Amino acid sequence: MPDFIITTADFDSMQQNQEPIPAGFELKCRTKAAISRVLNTGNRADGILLRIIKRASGKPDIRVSKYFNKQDLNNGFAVLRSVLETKMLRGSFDNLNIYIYTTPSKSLIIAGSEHACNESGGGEGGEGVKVRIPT
Amino acid sequence: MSIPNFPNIRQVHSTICWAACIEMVARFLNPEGSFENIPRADLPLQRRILKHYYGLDGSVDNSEEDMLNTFCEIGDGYPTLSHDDNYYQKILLEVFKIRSVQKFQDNIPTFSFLKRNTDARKPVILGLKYPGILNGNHAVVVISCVKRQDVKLLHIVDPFSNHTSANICVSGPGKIAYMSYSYLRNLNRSDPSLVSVVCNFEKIAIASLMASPPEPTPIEFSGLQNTGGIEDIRNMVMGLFLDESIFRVKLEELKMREAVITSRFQSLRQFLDEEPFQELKLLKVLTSKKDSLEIMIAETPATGNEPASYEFVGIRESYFTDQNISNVKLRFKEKNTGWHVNHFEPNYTLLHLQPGNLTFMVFTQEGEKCYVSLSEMPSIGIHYREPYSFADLKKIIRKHFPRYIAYETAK
Repeated sequence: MPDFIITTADFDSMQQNQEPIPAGFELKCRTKAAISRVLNTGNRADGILLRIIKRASGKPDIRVSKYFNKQDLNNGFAVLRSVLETKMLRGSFDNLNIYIYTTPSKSLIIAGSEHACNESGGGEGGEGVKVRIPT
Repeated sequence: MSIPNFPNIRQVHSTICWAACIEMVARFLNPEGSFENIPRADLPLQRRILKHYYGLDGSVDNSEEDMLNTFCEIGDGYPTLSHDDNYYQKILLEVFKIRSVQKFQDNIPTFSFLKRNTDARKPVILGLKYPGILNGNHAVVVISCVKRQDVKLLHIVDPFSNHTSANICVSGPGKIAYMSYSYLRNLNRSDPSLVSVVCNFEKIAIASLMASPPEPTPIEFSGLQNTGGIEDIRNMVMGLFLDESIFRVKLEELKMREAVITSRFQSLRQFLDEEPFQELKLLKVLTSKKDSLEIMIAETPATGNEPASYEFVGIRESYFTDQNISNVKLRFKEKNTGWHVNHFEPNYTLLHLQPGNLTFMVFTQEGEKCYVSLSEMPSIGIHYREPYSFADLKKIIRKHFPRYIAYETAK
């Protein structure tokens, strides 16, 4: 996975991706409260560091840890605090959804959402701005 | 026929397609755009709609107030429209004095229902599973229903579109799409979901006009109308591709491109009659390493009050070989012409025509023309990259495409 840090500048221009989004993905979610705990418990972090791990079952999962500016990403990607607080997890968005794709190519899509993983995503509006990260 | 003068408006934020659809209907029924009962501070209209939604539970709390205050800044967190109440109906009535009917059902309405409404110039808002949306529904407006070669298509105004300005509150158009009805129906069948349907919009009170109308703001009046253009046509063709029912192409092998190339082309009829060339636009729709597909559009520019009009001329399908085509030397009647094929050089007149499944090009130099087939069509006597005279081609076309000629003549 290339080093990838999501900053507020990534939101300055919303580009519409014309390519269809692949259907097969593993969806993982983290609540705003859980992310807030990572950010604010102990040393105040500058963001979160997400890494894809592989469970014993072979299924992909994610691990969320603290990110401090200029730290080595070690095959993970960082989402800065300002992005989470002012762009993705505010208002009615209480969840960060992470879509893990393994086919046709490995990639991640993250988006803020009103809905947790196991909740129906009913209602008009769907999801927030999707950020795709090549892995 | 689509509903005339239906506005096309972009949603300001990623999750408020529903507010954009309400705005479009409100503007459609208030074509003068006089919303004098709405305080200027509440504009743009999508903010006003959102404010009303926030207030439906009794009051707007601090967090919601903050979201309204930063409405024109990029950021997520705006609410989706849940299915626990008829929110469209309430907001349209309470903010815009527009009566409507909202219902929920397990799939999109029948094609005949939608057609009946749009034929009567009544738009229908659908909140449905939509391509590109992973979770939840997307709200769009259906403004016409057409049937082409047994494929039922919904002409849709989709409010999701790129920002065209740094100020996201400056209104801009959404997208016009032609979606396959069966594709959408299958998409909404495959996942347990509710589709919301809002229709029968009726304005019940005409707001009194002010003696001097308020000064228009860019938010309300810029770029609200999209009378149809090249992008619409491209979306129409993309809609046809979605269920692969018209063009049997393997979508996974193709990548979409958005290049618009303008060159000098002519229609088959003009070609056969040796009429002067007409400026056409060539829209690249799909392309792969080996071939590409483009649509050819004739454009009559807008004049005065008349909007621009577009004529669908045909579809160009190009096949590329492993050989670098810029090095191909053309021969004409057993002689080397000295001309080279080069798709990237605009210094010659290049013509591609595809009546049915025939593809060829014409090169013009000093009044002479050289025609080159790009398809291997031995059954009708046209061979890959072989030059033909005009008379030869005319004869072949008239012999092998009589139905096409009849169609062209009938036009």
